[in-house]
Amino acid sequence: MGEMNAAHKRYLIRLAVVMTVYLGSLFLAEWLIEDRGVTGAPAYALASVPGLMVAAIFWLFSRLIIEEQDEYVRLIYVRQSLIATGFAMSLAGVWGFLETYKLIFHLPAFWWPVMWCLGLVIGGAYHWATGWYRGARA
Amino acid sequence: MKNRLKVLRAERDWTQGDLADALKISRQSVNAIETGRYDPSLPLAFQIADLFEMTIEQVFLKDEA
Repeated sequence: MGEMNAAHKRYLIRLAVVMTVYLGSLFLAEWLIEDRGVTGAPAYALASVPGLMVAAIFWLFSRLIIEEQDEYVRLIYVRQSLIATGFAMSLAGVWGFLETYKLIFHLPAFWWPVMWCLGLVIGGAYHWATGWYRGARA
Repeated sequence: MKNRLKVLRAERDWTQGDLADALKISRQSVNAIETGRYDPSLPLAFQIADLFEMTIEQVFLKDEA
């Protein structure tokens, strides 16, 4: 979207590392726990890794906000994360009550961080559409 | 808050990119400040004023009530 600076480059590198570990650990957990029947402590450890990589997404976006030197771009990131949080938490709240009264199917909890990431995309698109990135190189 | 950034920049024949490079900020930041969409922090306002060798009051204008 905007010009890519050092903070944004670090963010993308960290994101690539986290997503690689996430996909690798997910594959391993599926294979070893689901197919090979691994149980006990190794299963707990293995099943925790994809979740910890989801936690790392929040950490690396926080680092992006902290490390961004351009105050205006930093403001956009903060506003984007507020939109993402509002979107994901609102959806979780509404979905939770619908689920409680059995009006809708059960959704595993790991989908809410995914909704947060979708909220970031929505936040980015909103700022782009409303001219917050005007002046940036295409 | 209004400002004279566009005029000051034009007087020096600077593009938004030139100003952004001089201030070490992004072009969208310069655009946002220039169009009044974003009011810069005090340190950035001082930096802008220093670049034009002016005071903050000569660059940024108080909104009339």
